[in-house]
Amino acid sequence: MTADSHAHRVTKQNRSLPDTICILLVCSMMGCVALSIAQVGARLDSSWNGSYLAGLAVLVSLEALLTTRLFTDYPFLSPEWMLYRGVEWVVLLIGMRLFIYAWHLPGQLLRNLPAGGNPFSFEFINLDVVVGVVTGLVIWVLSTQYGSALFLLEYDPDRLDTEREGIGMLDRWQVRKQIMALIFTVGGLMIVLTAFQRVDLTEFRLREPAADPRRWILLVYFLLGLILLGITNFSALRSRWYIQKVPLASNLSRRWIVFSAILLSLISVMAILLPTRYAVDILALINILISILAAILGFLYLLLLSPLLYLFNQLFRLLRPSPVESEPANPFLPFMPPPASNEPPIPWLDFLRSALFWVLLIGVISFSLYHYLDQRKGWVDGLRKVSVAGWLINLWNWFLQGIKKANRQFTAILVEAAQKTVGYIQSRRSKRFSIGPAPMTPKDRVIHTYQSMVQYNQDTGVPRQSHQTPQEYGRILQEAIPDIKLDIDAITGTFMEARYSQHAITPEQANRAVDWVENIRSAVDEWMKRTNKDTP
Amino acid sequence: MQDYLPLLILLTIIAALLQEDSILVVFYLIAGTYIAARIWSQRSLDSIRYDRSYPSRAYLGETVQVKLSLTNSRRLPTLWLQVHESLPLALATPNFFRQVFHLGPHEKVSYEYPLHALKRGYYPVGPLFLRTGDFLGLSQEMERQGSTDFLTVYPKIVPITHLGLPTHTPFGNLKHHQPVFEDPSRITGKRDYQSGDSLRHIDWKASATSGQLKVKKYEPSISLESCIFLDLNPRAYDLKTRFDATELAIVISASVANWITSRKQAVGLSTNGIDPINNDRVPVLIPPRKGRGHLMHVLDVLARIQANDGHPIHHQLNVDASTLPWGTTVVLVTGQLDDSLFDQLFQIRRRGLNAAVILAGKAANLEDARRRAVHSGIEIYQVMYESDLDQWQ
Repeated sequence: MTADSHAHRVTKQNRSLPDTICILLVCSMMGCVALSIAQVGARLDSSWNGSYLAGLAVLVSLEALLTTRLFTDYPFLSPEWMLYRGVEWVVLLIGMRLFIYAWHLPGQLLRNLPAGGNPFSFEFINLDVVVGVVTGLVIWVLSTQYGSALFLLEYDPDRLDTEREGIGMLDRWQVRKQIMALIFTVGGLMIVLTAFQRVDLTEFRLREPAADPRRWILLVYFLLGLILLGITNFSALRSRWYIQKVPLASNLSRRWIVFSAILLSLISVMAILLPTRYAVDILALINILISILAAILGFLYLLLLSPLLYLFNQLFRLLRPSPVESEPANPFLPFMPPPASNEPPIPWLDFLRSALFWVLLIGVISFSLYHYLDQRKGWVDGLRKVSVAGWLINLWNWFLQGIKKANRQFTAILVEAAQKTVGYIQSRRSKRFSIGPAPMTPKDRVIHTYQSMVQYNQDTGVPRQSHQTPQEYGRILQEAIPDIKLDIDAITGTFMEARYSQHAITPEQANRAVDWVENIRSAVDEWMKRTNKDTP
Repeated sequence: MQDYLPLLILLTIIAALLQEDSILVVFYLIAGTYIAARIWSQRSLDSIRYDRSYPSRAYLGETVQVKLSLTNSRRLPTLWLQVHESLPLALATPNFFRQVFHLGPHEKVSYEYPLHALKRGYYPVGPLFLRTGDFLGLSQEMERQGSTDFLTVYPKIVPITHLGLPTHTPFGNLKHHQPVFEDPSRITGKRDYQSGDSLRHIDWKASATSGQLKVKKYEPSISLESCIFLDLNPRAYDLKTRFDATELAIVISASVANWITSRKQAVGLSTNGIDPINNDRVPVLIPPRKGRGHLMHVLDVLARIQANDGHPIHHQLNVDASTLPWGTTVVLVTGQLDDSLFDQLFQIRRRGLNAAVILAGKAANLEDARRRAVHSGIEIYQVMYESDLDQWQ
């Protein structure tokens, strides 16, 4: 493959998707930043609604990202640069004002139309516009920074070809560090803003956390940021592979993005599920787990015993003598519910979170201890010499092996059960929608049984030669194992009848053929064992 | 990522002070991502299994397709995997195979690349280098080196139809004109008894049927058991054409061995070259045997063998020829004949072996050598170029 065709492959299949997604991710992250600013505004003035800032930020960010790459050749503060930026900002200001107007227009119409006022009244500068422009400026600056860095990581065959010749090598790791710094710096500022929302400055105390789902914007921002980091890693690697002329699989970028997103989403879900404050302690957790286990075992026990109890009950009824007058039995006492606990029930979500937390914590501690001891085998050997410690270590090893064994057995049981279930379902399905070969006729069964016997004997040491007729083969078998003369005669005769005659074979004959072959097989096995034993 | 460790600590402190859930969740996310990315990339590399399948032997001019299969043996996908397979320069241009791809859970991918067997030799295929990293690019990329396999390219074999090597070994399957080599297992007919015929040759059944004494007629036959002595000492060849001449000597040896085997005769090989898979660097001796399997063994050695400056061939002739049975033909392939070689060949003749010499490349004092060879009863052939082998086709 030539270098040109290699470049073509990268361009067509692995270029567009990552670069486009990077732009979309940065726009979304800027939307998160704007929402964070809007939340702070809402804390300062609860009547102010700054949700329009998100849309505004996305638009400004998109403009900045798309136009940055067009004018990278102009030196900073040069006349061309000033002209370009001036024009851009005039258009941006008009665009922002129109966007804010359009955003508020439906509400304005609803307010003014019933009151008879001018529904299209236009105030050039108000608080929304000032906040919008300031936010837009911040977003524009950030997006320009992102855009410049992403532009360097993008696929540019001309630049990469130059680098391939060793001219103007770009340190893409530094570019990625720049992007990482931007993500974490802006994220840090968002954390400060989030923290600021918790502090009541008037009374100098912490407010109660808001139930507003928008407080998870911080998480969304970091999630998007991490996905962006992953894709920029791909971009940097893609450039390296291009320079080294390493061909890429066509689906690499798509799979990279999909698997990164899946992994990060899973981690996010786990992060959300993990407890953020102390909920259920470990003893309570174990208590709950044991209770659940006991309930399950009790249920299984009842399930298994109930048929027996029923049988015994029926038996005792039959054996009971004729009814006699007896004292009236004590009236059946109704089941009294246990006294209600004063403790409030533990919510399931808290329980799940605590379970996850303790599992992870115990896992981390066990992992650390295991590796700590594994790295210091001398200590363990030394401890082993001390009788009590050695006994404890052996006990621990025994426990560990027991756990492993139980785990293996349990897994094997589960796998076997699953396979049986799948097999049963498949067999049912195949029975219901059978499109496969029809079941064998008795004639086919006899032929198949005989052939399986020949095959078996082939492997065990009494092979049938290609020139031998069934009768000749039968005689050889009889000479080797005289005990089964009758069975061999029977199966040979039935086989010849099934194979070479037009006679009908009954299912009973086919069943008998199976029995004869079973006998022959057992006899052949015995003969083999004897032969092997006799052989020195 | 280590640069942002203070940030993580700060996040934890802020979250603890403010009891803000979302900040702690962000801490979990970043820490979890970092740990997961590291574990993922480490596990990914361990789970890769690879297999290289190709015919391990090739004839000159063939193209061998190597199929490289890589399997992810675990449920964890490998986000990216770069493979770099080193290849011999004589067989492939460029001398590597590289690819980057993704491997899903239990996924298998296969790639094929060609190797052009343009030169005889014993070539390493590989090693295979596997490289991967975490999806965030936070930790150092990890690399694993795989094993190396080998490809044997046989030397060129020129089909020879007649060579006329001398032999005096009776009871073979080659026809001969001298009745002294009559083979009692090859009866060609019967004739009337003549005085002096051995009684053991009388065909009693035929005599009883015809009423006259009949004796069996036998076909004279010989066996051409041969051993090729290949001289790969560079000093035995002309300085200017040394490399080409040694290669030509190998081609001659392979062609002669092939011709002898095609006549259903036994052939052996003794050479003072170096076999790369033979670590102790002793000269190679393959005793004469029959059959295609044995020929492949001889060709394997001829494919691998390299010139060696150490041992002169006359020493080897002295040692190895003494182990050969009477009547065996010794075929010496060398660049020139000197006094010590003539002495050695003369000794071989005296031991009852036949001797033939094939001079590869430009030989000095050829006429003088021919004259001496005639006196000693040694056949001499000269092959200057590969095209000269056509004389035997």
